[in-house]
Amino acid sequence: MKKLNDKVKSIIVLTLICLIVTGVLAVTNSFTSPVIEKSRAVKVKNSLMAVLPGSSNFSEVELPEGAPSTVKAVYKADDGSYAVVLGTMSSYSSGEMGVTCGISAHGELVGVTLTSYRESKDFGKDTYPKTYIGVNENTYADVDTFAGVTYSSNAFKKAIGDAFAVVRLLKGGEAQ
Amino acid sequence: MKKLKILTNGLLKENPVFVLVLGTCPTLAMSVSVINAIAMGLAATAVLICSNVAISLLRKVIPDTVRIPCYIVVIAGFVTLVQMLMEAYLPDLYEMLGVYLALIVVNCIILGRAEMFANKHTVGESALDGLGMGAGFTLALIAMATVREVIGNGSFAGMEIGFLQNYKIPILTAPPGGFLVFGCLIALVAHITKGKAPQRKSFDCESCPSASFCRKDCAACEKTAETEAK
Repeated sequence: MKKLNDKVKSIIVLTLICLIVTGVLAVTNSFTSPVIEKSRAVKVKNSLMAVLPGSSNFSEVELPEGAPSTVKAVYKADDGSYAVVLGTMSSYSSGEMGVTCGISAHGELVGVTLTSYRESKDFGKDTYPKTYIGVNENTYADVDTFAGVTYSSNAFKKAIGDAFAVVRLLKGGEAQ
Repeated sequence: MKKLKILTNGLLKENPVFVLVLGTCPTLAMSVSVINAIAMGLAATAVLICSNVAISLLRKVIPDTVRIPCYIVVIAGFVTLVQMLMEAYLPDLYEMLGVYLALIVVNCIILGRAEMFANKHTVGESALDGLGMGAGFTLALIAMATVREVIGNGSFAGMEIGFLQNYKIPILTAPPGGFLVFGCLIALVAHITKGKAPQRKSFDCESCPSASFCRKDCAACEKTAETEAK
């Protein structure tokens, strides 16, 4: 009987502690999430300016049917170029990889920036992404992966491919 | 006097990094730059103080059989709290610490202090222990980061040191350099604290976190071995 009581007590205490911790985190989340969202929005806006430096007016366009699930938003600049905001995951990552691509009206990648990625610091926020500049939908796959961070490189390459795919769809092309 | 001893124990005599050799992973990873080291040290100290206080408060309520899961839940809760607050109000620092911030959950120093100290002492003493150990961890990180950044990168807290630019030893900023500096600093601390650092008996079976489960098995094993030997 005593053993059973101990077991029940253990379960109750652990459950209560979990509930209290959950409650505290929920309260914290309620006031930190708006601030986090706001700072992410600022980051996205800055990334649009970074990937399409010649443009300043961006309007968000509705995602076309069949757009890859990694595409979070697409913005069209006045000169007909597109900025694509993506969020993808590599096989081993615990967090999302945020990528923003700038694709010119001619279909070339003119700018790319890694807005968030919490793993593989060696991946480099600039070095590897910049190797994609100048590629188009037919040539992006030829860029080599980065030794030592193959999974992150592949996830990044897939994100670039998804950006080209959504722009093709927006221009009236067909999904592949 | 006892309280002052608790507070200062973690600084050198029982320094969690150089004497107890706990929390080696974040120490090696985050000691590439002084700024990273300070940020990591402060985040870990905040979690250490809060978790020590919470565990000390709950020490009479938590049954022995589920104490480790309870400690992990409490520690993980505080780490997530620090993560949320940092992402909201110190986003640059949050980016800088990367995945190592979340890994504070499994930092041996925090679980170790919960098990070895907080569950046996009062709230005030546990808070002081958390502060002392956190300060010791932060100082150890800063010491390592200073050596690695100054000699390895020719800078201090991101500021370039002009005359060192031609005499940098880049390997110190790489993982092997981290181990090298770590070993040298452990040797230095051992030399300084000769005779004062906890002796081997402090690390015996009694002070092991798993002692209550393990001792019975040890006795059984010894008995079996003796029987087999006969």
